[in-house]
Amino acid sequence: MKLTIVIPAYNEGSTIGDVIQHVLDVNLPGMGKEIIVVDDGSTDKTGEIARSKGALVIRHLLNRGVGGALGTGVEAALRQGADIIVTCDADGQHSPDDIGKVVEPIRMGRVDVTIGSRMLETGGMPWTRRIANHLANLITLGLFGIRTTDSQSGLRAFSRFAAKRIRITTNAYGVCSEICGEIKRHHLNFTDVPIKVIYTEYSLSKGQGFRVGLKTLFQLLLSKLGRTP
Amino acid sequence: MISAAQAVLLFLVALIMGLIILRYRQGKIGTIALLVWLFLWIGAAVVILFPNSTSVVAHFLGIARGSDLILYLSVILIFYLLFRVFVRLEQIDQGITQVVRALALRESGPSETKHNSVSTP
Repeated sequence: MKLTIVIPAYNEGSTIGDVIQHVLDVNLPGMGKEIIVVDDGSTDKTGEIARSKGALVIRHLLNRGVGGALGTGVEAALRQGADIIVTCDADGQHSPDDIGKVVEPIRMGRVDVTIGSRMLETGGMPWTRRIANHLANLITLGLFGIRTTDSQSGLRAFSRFAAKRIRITTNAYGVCSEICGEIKRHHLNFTDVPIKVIYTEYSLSKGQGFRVGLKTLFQLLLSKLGRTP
Repeated sequence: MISAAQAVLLFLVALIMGLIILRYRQGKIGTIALLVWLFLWIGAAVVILFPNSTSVVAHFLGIARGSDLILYLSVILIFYLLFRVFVRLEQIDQGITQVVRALALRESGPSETKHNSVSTP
């Protein structure tokens, strides 16, 4: 069984090497592992570092945002013949040990999609982020009709079956909610898996702050209104 | 008699209508677009010639002054156009992503040709 880990990265030169190393160190018996880093038009050495660590690097000529990079990464993983696809943030906020946790329910064939939820064990998460994530979940429920404990999580896993069906059109952070919407649209089975989150000053600076969050919301509303069938 | 301002405005409207007809003759706009635009500009000419005519419509709609009616309609039109521009922008953005993705997959990524070369000796 082939597991492909997709890591979208934009100017993550300071963390990408460690993230890849940690992912490589994870021991998943019976699974082949491949890492695909989508270098989303970085201006630093993100791509070079990732390549030197043995990842397959796919480079966007222009920065398209995390959603655009995820779409490319998933497409590449499918072409590489992945059986299970994991998406993982490049800022080092995920513990690589949790990859096994999100993969397991899919490997057992229980579900098509898992979302690594940072909200089931919220120790270490700043309270502002906790409130923001609750709000994001409510908005995702309202717009896409799906209930999840962490709609904005970057650590997820898809079966090949699910990855082939999910269509990603959002470029920016709205992609998290969009994926939830696609799960609903295709009636895919999904489950939340509790994961740890490692908040550092760095990872907090890279995620969605208040302003980016508002922008995401605006974009989601707009795409919901303006969607051509 | 018409005032100087009216004359200038009417001249401009006539000029614009002439341009629209020219575009139609050149085949750059369709018949429906031609009719819609001519209808709009004939309306503008009527309003310029009889400024009080807007008040009649405004009164009918319960708005005190004709100029207020035009203002309201303009705001609605601008909001609508703004929305259209936003949607269009989003479409262009998605289009750029598709191009960037196709290029990225072709250049540095795995390609379908690789699979083909395996299957065909």
